[in-house]
Amino acid sequence: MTNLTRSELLDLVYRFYPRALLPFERRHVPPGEPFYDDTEEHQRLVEASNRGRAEYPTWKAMIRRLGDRYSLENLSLHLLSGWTDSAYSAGIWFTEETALSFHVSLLGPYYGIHLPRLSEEEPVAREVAREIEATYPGYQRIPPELGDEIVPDVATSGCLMGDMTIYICLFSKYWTWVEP
Amino acid sequence: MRTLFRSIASLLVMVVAGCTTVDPDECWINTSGGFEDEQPIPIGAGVGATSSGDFGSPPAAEPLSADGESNPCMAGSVTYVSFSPSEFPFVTTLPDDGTGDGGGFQVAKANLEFKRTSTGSVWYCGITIGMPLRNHHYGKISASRAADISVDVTEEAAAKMKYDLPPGTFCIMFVPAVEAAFQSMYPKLGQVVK
Repeated sequence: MTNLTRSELLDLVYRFYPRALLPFERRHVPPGEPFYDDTEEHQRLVEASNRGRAEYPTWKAMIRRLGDRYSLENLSLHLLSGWTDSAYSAGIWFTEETALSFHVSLLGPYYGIHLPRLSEEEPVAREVAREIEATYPGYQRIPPELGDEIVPDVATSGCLMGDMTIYICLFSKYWTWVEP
Repeated sequence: MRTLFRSIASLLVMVVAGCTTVDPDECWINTSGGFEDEQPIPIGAGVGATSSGDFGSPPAAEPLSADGESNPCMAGSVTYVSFSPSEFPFVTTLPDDGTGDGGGFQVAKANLEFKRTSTGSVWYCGITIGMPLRNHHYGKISASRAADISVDVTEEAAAKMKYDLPPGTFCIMFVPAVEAAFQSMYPKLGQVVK
């Protein structure tokens, strides 16, 4: 495992998200102006989603194993409906109100676990991490001090410039499913 | 009470930008008596306004009219939206296999209309909403329930928008506003919006 750096993660993000371009609907883009969905970067994100759909059985088998032990909700069903997204995501419920979410990126060998503020859930997070690392060898967990970094100059549908973090870019908007 | 207020208010969302206070001498009064023991409610307060004729006397101008003379309270400042469940025709894109705490997926594509009363300009925002057919917290979510939820959420989001933005920018800002409304009104529903 290598030490992750902010710059390598930003380089990865910028391969999939066009810089300084807003995701206007096509009807609002003047002729001749670049259209977000047509950019090379967005097309790479579409291809990554396609790969995610193709490799979905691996994810499904993993969450089934975890689902045998925990109350698990798969948050990746939209991928199978043809949506473009940057990660597989799922949540594990501890109580009716508290859950953690975990995410395996489709953009690079990274995963993330979003814990609520309850430290007693750490053992579950460790078990999820073990399961992910066994299923996706070589994948590294992105720590909060890097994942919560704002990514300058990028936006996507539903997340504006200045609000996009490395976590959201690499693990989808579902990263915010658990608050804070 | 809050539920009653919410259900009535959701029929017609009133967005007040710049006309944040209403003088009862100048603007319409809801003569329906308000809620329970409350006093009549100024229309500008954002409640009691409906499109079905709750007024004791006709208003000076139709709020939704782009061509008519503006009501003095609303001139240049007020925009209404009122969406309908029929604008969110949810279709199943993935059947529920019955496993886990959630399953299946449904999607609706809507083209929502917005109007600026001061200029009469009309624009549309395309929005696609997806949500599971079954969810840990909400149980089974039928297409009609999904459409009702979508109306609630988009009207709530529309109420917080700034209507002086150019249409393209408005539509970009509308999507995160809808996401935020989902998060506050239906947390952990598992929806996606674009």
